[in-house]
Amino acid sequence: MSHTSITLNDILIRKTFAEAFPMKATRIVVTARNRDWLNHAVNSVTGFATSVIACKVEAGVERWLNPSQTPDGREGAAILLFAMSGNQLEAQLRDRVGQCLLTSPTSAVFSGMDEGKPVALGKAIRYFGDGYQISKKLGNKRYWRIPVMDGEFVCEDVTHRIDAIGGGNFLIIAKDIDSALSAAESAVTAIDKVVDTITPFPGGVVRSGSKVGSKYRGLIASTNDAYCPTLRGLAPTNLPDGANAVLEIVIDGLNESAVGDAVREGIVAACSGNWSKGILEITASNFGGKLGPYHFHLHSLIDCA
Amino acid sequence: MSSVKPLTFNRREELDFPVDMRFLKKIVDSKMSTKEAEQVLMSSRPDALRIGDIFKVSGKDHQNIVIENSNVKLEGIGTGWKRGTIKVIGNAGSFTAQSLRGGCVHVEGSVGDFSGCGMNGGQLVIDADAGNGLGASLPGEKIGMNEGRIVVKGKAGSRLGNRMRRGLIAVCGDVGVGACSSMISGTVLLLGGQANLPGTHMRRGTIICASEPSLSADSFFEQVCEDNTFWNVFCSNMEGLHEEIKQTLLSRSPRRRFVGDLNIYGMGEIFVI
Repeated sequence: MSHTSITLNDILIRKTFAEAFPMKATRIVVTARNRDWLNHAVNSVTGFATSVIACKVEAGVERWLNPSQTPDGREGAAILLFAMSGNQLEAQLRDRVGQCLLTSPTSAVFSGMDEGKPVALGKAIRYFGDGYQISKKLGNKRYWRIPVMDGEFVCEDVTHRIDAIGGGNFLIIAKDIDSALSAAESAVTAIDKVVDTITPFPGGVVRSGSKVGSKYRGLIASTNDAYCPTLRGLAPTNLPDGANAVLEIVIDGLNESAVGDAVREGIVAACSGNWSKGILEITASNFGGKLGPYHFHLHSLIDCA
Repeated sequence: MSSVKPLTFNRREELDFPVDMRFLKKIVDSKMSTKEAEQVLMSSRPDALRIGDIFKVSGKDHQNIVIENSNVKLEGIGTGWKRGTIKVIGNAGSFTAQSLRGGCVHVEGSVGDFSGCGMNGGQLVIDADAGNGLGASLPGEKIGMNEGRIVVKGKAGSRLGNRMRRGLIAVCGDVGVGACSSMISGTVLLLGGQANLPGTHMRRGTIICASEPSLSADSFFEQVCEDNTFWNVFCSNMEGLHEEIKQTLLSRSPRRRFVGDLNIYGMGEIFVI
């Protein structure tokens, strides 16, 4: 492991890179009558969407929208969904809109992306209206009004999907869990401000970073033993002395520059607080370039900060 | 702004016979010069007049047509038009913007009967009044307007939007009887006075009335009108509409909603705003 490194607020930034891979992504805009019901709808549609390994889709809130930014003048949220293939994304979108948004009182859903390949939105679930659904084309967009028990579920006909990037990451290595959590929370707050990106894991943070493969047949990912403090002495470790907690931030984005910006903003925020004395170093997870074509070199990103 | 002068047709004298204006598309498609255009025969008859006998033609911009000194004898202006604009200074005759596919036809006066019939896109803007059968099906045809947008700043005649299938018609003034009869789908805004029996035999589609319409109680069922989500979406998609219409829509919300026509098991809706 190379020890050529730079520091940020006396925190070591490893000379390494985060390795990311191609994905397909779409954006939808969800609205509801008030913030409470918007939260219910958003939590539902982005639930169980942390990693494509088992969830088949990664999803999260890109940003919250005020009424002037939504098609129906209500509070809303822009949600990004990422999957490994277009078909998988389309299937997940159909199921999630049908089971999580159609069912959520007062919700409506609209396309958040006008470029790329069309992906069915209302087109896929209009049949729930059993013939009573109403189609309305306004300008170049078609909307579906599906009768439901609280009135109508308004849903745009299609959204679009584009090529995107998943798996941008960095690891916060800390002396203790309090410092690690504070740094991670600060990083996620900073990344939330970067448009075109999401952090799909709970609170934006992963504690169970994984390596590819396992000693058990059929398991495609298993614990990243080199960064587990409790395995020091049992397995080869990448942890410095005194490290007792590691948290990972995983970032999905619509393009390379957005992911790069998010990694940089996240690292800077993680190293800039009164918790920084508890942070030992920042590194990133990669697989030697075998996983994906997008490499985010931490030193290059920090030099741009 | 383009410095090329619009291709302009200036009517030379008063006409006592109708003139079929469908030649405009032929001139534009073949990019004729003004001299060539003036030599085009108005019909296949041997004694037919040439365009130059009726109009003085000038200008070069084939995507930007101006018809000056127009009157109701000029029929079929903008028929089959696909792109660019036609500006009519004066009134226009029947069949204006028939089968319009794109672009914009702007009439600074009134238009005759059956204007906008068979429209498949584009926009027809009428600064004054429209005749009967605006955006409706032609006699013998099953479908009226199929796409696009018609804005009438004045009044409109009877059978407005009869059998229309898609698109939007907005009328600021009063409308005649039988508006939106047998409507298949689409949207019609009636922003003037009381409409008499709108939506008779409508199957689907949306009619928005600014005044209480006279409706047959047997034909339409009144519903509670509480969910305005779609109304908000509708209002936010009115870009390019006449400002007066936009303001009317934005300042109001649906008060009553009727569904029907129940006589034919229709699922159309009439909003009163």
